[in-house]
Amino acid sequence: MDKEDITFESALQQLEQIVELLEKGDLPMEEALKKFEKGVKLAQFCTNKINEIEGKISLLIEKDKGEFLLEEFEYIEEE
Amino acid sequence: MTTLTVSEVTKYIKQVFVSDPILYNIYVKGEVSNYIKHTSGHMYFTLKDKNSRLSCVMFSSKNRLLNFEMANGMKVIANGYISVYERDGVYQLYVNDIQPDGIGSLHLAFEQLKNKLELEGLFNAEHKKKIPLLPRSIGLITSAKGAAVKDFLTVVKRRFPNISITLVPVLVQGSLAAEQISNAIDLLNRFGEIDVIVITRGGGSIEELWAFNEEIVARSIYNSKIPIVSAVGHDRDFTIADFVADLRAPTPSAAGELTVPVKKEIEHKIEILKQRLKLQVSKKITLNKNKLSFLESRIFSEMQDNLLQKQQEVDHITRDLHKDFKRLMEIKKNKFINIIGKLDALSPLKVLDRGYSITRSHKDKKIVKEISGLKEGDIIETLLTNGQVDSKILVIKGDE
Repeated sequence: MDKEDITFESALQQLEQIVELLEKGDLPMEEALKKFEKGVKLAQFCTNKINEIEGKISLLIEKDKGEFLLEEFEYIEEE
Repeated sequence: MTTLTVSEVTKYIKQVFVSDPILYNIYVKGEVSNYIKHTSGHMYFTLKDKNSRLSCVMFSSKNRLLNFEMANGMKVIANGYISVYERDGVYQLYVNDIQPDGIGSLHLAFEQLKNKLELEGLFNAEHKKKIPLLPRSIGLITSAKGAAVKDFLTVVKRRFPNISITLVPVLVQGSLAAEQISNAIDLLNRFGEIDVIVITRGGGSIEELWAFNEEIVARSIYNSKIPIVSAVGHDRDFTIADFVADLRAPTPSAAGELTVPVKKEIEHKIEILKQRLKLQVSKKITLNKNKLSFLESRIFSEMQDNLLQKQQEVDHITRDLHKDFKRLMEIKKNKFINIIGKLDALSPLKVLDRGYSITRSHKDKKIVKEISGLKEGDIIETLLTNGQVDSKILVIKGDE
């Protein structure tokens, strides 16, 4: 599983599928443990994804073609 | 009588028309027919009603500004002046502006563009991109001032405090707005790192919202690789942008709700999934443990059973062995007695019974078989069947 390649959404989806698969209960032990391990990793991945968002509000300005500048944005109340 | 040339009379008539205070600036209502747009860009058509027809021309310098498409059968109000086309000697209406009769021109333009883009398939559901559940960053296209950006930011921050927003400030009304919005969409597409774009502005009149009904904006939305949420005006306002966008939100606040999940809910969901995951595995482990100990106990009892059987077997064998041994001993004993009997018969003592005797030296108890080693005066012992006689040697005589 190359975790960088998958989106938060698909990770969450995979996690849900794994849980449902395990809840059906007919997986062999070894397989179930593998799935469990993957599920734990996915849950961790999702949690990381949620928390690694920086929470920045920036203004995007293109200085020259292809040269971008991000400035911090402060909301100014209109008079 | 004065005689005039054709040109002279035509010029005169033209003069009469042009200097007329009414014909100089009139509004004419009628239905468009014989509409032709020449390659030069000039528009030629006839306005007609039940009884009459009026030739009209609208030069490209004027019709460039029309925001709707002219068509035959359309009811319009044309504004202009009446003058004469001298070459043909016909009078016609030189149109400066034209408005659809009944509905406003913007409404008509809206309907026309909507139909056109719909036919082209720009609104088709199969082109709609999915809005991601959790955008790493939201590209926000709106005015940096005003209620829309405030409403949107308030909602997303409340739902997901650490959400990231990349704002591209644009004019949201006026003649520059459409191009700025279109450029902003392209800019965000080129910038990358954006998972969803929100285009928004607050409510307003159709004129104020007009930028969002422009074809250039519609095309940029359609061509965007990033999914776009359009939230223009209020609930009742629909713009072309709304139709092309991947998702329409009725208000800027609603756009916030549709693009950003509630962080706590997501965290809760993940937590629940984790718990379910753990529960399942521990259930599985317990189940297997129980199975294992059941099997173990079965193996143990079987082993015990097996052991008892073997023990019994050993007992049996031991008993047999004892019996066999006893029998063997019996046989050996009998053999022994037999041999003893034989031995007894051969014993030298038995010989004494028959009258023979044994002589031995008194000194060393050695049997005396010959005379050598004996001398006169030695004591010898003679063993008889029922006792012993000790004698002193008187004479020793050898056989001749």
